[in-house]
Amino acid sequence: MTDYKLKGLLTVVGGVLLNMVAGNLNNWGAISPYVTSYLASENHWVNSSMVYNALPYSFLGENLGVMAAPYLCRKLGTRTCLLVAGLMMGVAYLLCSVISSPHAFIGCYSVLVGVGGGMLTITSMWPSWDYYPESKGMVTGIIMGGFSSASIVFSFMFTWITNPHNSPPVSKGNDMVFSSEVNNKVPSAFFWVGLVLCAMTCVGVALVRPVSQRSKSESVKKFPVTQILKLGTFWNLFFVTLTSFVFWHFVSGCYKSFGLLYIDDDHFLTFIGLAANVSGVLGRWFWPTLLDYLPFKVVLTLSLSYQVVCSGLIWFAVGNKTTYAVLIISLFFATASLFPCAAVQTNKVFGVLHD
Amino acid sequence: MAMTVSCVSTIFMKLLAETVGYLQVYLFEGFVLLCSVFLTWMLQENSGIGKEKYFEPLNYT
Repeated sequence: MTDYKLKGLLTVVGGVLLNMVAGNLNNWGAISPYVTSYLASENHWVNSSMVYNALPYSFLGENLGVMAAPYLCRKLGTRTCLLVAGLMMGVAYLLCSVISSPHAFIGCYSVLVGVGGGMLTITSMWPSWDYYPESKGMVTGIIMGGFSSASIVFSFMFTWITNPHNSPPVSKGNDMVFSSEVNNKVPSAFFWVGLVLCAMTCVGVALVRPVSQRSKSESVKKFPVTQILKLGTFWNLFFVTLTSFVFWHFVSGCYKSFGLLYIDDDHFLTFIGLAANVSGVLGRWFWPTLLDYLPFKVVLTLSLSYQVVCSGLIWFAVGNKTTYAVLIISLFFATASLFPCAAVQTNKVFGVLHD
Repeated sequence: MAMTVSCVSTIFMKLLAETVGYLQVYLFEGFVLLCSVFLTWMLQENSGIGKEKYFEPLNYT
């Protein structure tokens, strides 16, 4: 194996590791029941709605991170940008292990995890694209596999540390809370996950070997925003993306806390999340492949139609462990189509303006 | 941006779920998904985009 090929391979492995760190952005749905219970044990006014808000706030932060990443890469270099972003996520978890004020907790998590995750997600792919310019799709798929598998690894790790004996939660108002034995372990779960994220970031950055610094001439083309905003097609695309993602964002954020209201088995729900994320990884391969053979509207209609069925059945499915498991796992598979479909359509709408 | 607006809107969905119930929120989201299907078909009609590969941008001229 030549030195160039070896560096390319190591860069892809580094990208996978860094995307695994970034994938913790999607892990809030799995850990929020523990966080709610932990914060509510010391602050009686805390409820799951308040804790849930960290997810949308972190998505806002992710947008800032995605926008800031190209600028920071030019100023600091790709590896430094990746290191800063990964450590932001790790430090967020470490800080959450010592913060007990709910507002500070949610704010710290949302800003650091959101911005750090946004900076990591896209930036960790660029160096690998430079090594494999003819196989960007495949390389992106492999690296995004790291992003999806983060929920599998870290939700399991978090549950294993906080609730190793599968203590059942008890009802408190609209929420379910755990015993003090579980609540007391939440800070140490944040601490260990934070340490692992920092270590993975250092290893990932050490493996990534950019071919060359991205020069300004290589950077993204200037885009006439005012022209885009006048396009009916743009707004059509905007609302397709907006409406198609609402159900997915809601379910991914609260499938566990909703399930706990009716299913008295924390570990079972954790395993549902693991299996669902595995099916999501498969979906991320399946749907883009289908887009190679079928029109966009057919692919998205297939996925959305299944989600419509799920939205009508989920209330009834939660009454039984098996039906809820089947519904959530298949739903994660179906919703894996949304991002590729949004990406491919955006590419096409923007392509009109570029050419 | 649309994904962020979508995610932020779930703050209200969660509050709604705790006041009126999860069933109503899920049914409402089902209706939103139906709107999305309609918008998807409208988008394809408007843009005239058909069958292309995921990572291959169209060659518009």
